[in-house]
Amino acid sequence: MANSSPYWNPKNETMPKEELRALQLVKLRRLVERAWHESPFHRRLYEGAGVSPEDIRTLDDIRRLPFMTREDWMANQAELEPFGDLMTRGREDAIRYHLTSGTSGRQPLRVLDGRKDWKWIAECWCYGFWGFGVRPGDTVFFAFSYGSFIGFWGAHYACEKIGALVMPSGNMTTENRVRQLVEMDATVVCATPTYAIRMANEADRLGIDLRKSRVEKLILSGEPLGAKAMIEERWGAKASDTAGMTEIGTIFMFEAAHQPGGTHIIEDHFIEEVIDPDTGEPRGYGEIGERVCTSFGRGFLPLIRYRSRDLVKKLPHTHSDCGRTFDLYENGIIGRADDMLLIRGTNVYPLAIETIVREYRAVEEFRIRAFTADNGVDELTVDIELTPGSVGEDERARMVGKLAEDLKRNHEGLRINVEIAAEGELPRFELKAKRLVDSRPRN
Amino acid sequence: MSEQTDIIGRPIDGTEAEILALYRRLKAMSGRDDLAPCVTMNLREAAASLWQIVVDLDLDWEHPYDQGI
Repeated sequence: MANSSPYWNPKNETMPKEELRALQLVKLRRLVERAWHESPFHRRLYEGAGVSPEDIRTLDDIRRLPFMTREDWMANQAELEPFGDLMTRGREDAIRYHLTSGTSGRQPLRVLDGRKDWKWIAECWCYGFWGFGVRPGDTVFFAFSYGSFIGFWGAHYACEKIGALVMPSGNMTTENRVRQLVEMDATVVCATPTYAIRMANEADRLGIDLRKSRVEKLILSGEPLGAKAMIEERWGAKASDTAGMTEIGTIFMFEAAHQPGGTHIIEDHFIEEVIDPDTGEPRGYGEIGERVCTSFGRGFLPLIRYRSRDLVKKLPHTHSDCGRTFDLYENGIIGRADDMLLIRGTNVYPLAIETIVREYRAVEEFRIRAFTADNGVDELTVDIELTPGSVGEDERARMVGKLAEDLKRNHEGLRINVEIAAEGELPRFELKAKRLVDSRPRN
Repeated sequence: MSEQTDIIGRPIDGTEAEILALYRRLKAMSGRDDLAPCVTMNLREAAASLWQIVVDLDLDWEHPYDQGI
């Protein structure tokens, strides 16, 4: 049965919805009880809100619990260095230390995990890898640096658990990674979307056609996936969207093999709420909102009603016909609540810009600059760097004009400038890309 | 929790009961301090793997750090 099952955990992935909700309630009650007794951070939070574990009688009672924010957690670690008092155990019980990526320029969070937490972190990745069709016999190449950022660490151990052949590439150059994954017949490649594109560009430069390689599957994580079709086309492989957070140590959603247009939430290990990011009120199926995460598996760090700032649109499990009863997020993470730019009265999401820019195959890298011009007007400029030799000099102006028009048409007529950057001018990324530069004065 | 049901009250089958018993035996042994390092630490690794099955199958939900797991 093991290799033929499409599900990693058939019992829970196909569990009737009412049983799934009952399971979540039992776990939630125990989690809150444990946090109340063993995490001073949570005890203060709950006492301040006038709520106690006895108040959690139904799943809807989760809304009686206050939100937990990254800002609160960061302040707690700054006050009680190095780990704060959110943790339920001391460092002597831990086996792993990791940091958040610090993508947004803030102080990274420090996290610890125990032995069984690390098993669980790999386990959630197993739901995703197995669900996308990774099996014993696959060769999985990790384009990942294996540093203090937790990234694909859990995925590595998941593949060992599945019985696949794992190929780490910690200190390799992009060129060496491309050459090795082709030469060693990798069938699965794990990377951020940004880095998958970078490897495709490098393969072009080397004269290697990735579509003729053995790679059949791409597991992409770490960033919203705005360029999926382009990545699949350039690799000649299917791409699975996954997403996690260092705060939970692993992924909470994955795209199954039949690619139903969304990512299943791992609902036996998480409760995922969607709220209005401004009011905190719940949002229903089909409504865009901010995801709020409650995690059951990581015992060192109880994460309960954690504001992620990720924007999602939840769909009922019936949207997919794969038999899973886990709800989905349509197109995965569709943006970040704190990434939204307000330019001359129009909302602009970097992911929406990326989705348009990625339709232009000749664009190798790009950057979004928001700034205030000398006349006091906010401006938005997209710098694009072209693959050398891809567009003739006489064609460049026409391409810039077309891209600017596409951007304008998709942003309620907002003028967005497009400028061509010199070769090698824009930064390249391996993990989470930082393509947005907002130099406007605050307030 | 009854030995005969999972954490939401559903009956557990023979295989699940066997896994739960194995986990509890390993957990108990993992907490001993009279064994050689190679025994204790590998027991804890094995117990952590069993813990994962127990949680995946909803047989129990706990965080057994006191046993080094």
